[in-house]
Amino acid sequence: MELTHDDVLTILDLLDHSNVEYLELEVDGTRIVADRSGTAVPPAESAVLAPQPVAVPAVRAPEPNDPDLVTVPAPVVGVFYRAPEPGAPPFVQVGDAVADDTTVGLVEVMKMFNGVTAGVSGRVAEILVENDAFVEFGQPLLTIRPEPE
Amino acid sequence: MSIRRVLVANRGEIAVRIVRACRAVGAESVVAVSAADTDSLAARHANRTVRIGPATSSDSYLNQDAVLAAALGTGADAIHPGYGFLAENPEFAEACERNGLTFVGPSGDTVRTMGNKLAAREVAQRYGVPVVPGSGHITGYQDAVTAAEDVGYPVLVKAAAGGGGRGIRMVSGPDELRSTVEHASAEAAAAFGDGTLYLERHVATARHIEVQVMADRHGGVVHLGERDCSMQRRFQKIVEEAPASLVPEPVRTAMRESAVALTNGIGYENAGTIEFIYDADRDEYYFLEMNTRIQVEHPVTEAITGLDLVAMQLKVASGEPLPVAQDDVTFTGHAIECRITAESPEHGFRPAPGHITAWRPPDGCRIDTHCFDGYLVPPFYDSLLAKLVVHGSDRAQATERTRQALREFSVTGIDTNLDFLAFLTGHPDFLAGRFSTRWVEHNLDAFSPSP
Repeated sequence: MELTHDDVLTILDLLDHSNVEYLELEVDGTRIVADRSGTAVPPAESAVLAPQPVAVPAVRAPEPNDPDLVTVPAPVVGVFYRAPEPGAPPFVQVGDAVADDTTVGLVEVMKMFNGVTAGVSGRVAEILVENDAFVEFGQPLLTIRPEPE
Repeated sequence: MSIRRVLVANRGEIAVRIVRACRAVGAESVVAVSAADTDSLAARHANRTVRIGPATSSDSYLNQDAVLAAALGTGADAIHPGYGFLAENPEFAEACERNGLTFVGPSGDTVRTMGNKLAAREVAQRYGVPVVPGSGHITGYQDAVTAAEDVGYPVLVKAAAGGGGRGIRMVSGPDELRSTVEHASAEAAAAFGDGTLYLERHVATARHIEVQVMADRHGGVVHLGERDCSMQRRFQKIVEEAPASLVPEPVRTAMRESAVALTNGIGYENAGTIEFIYDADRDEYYFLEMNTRIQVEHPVTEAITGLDLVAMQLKVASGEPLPVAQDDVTFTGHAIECRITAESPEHGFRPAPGHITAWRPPDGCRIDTHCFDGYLVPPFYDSLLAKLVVHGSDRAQATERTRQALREFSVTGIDTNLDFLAFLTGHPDFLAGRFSTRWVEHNLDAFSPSP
């Protein structure tokens, strides 16, 4: 059996209306990988190894353009949480005032929760990463517009 | 193959090598990088990179939780540990399994047993493999004195938890024994978390010979021949070759049989290396240790067998049977590997990190490397820059081609050991095979770097 273009569209459409997060399907050498968790990597290339441009990690959020904003980076690699527990209100929202030691989120690495502190006093300007998203070490999580205390 | 996406938990040339093997078997690669390696060659070649921590190894490449989180967060189903870092850490191998990740290597139990040099000696003896005359574990100075008398001076004081040439001290007589035992124990406790020591007879004219094995979980075991890694400096290998043509064939055959018996006996899976000492004076060989990982010098074995060992590791780890039977393994010609390092031989081999302004490897031979024009060699990690792997129809031709390749190899911007390698491989003793593991120590004075 060979997959036609229409078959692929039908499969993706079915997936779109299901609760499936991740699907891997191989038919006669044609492989379809669909991932809704946002962590998909492109399929391996079969070409000879040759230098390529620097890989930009898929989940890296854009650096802030406003030079006045201070970025709060992830202290460890792991999963970012905006609230202390599911269903609870988030630690901070855009516009909230924070002190340098205010907890603005958590990063979980293998069941260990690491508090993320603002590191500067001011107001939350942007939240760059969604709740429950995988973050890398040093990845910008939110930005803060500094204000004198 | 059931493995689809491999997290590469290493850096440098071996990370590049693993990424290439992933492509060869049709798997995707995700390279875990520290903040110092975000622009590495492995990162450029991989399907994706993940930053796992700062430059310091203990917070990145040695941080088990960060590596596991990176694998789970990117949907990897396997972790290849390379060599060094977490490659021979039994807790890490077990943590991979607990988290549903395939550790590309043997089981945690096997890593633990063979990682303890004293326990490994006992296991080797159980399967009829000869070991160096030595002691059990030493409980104190008095115990060491008695044991050393039995073994005979000079003795090597070894840390049970050591390995890779670390944790070894030589003692030539009883006078030095007390301070050495005390120092070595404290050092081993600090470095390996275990101060247990034992003694081994020091073999004066030793050749370091090791047998490469590969095993699957279905009982398949093959040996892929042996390597001669006798050219060492302070127990660190510099030049390796395959086959060990300077050792008599009957001894090599016996070593291979010992290696297969041990691999079979312990139910080993994946790539492994059984290291032996060949005592040229007595024409005897002894088990030294088993390395439960892919080794730096695996390319010389690949060169003479035509096999891709890292790809084979991935296949075996995914549950496939070995792609070759023993009779399918053939050996062609002779291969020599030189380890090119960022070290300054004229300054006591001090590390020489910095900016490589021009990286000019020779054409026509295999170079495993992560270096390129403009690469900044970071000061945080080991000094290996590249492995030059040369193949010839016999040892003489491989040696001549190695000399030629070293002459053509040019690196500017940082100090390297290229001149030193040219000195070693150009020495009449090298071509004649007149060298043991202590050759460098005895001949270092004859080396004068070119201006």
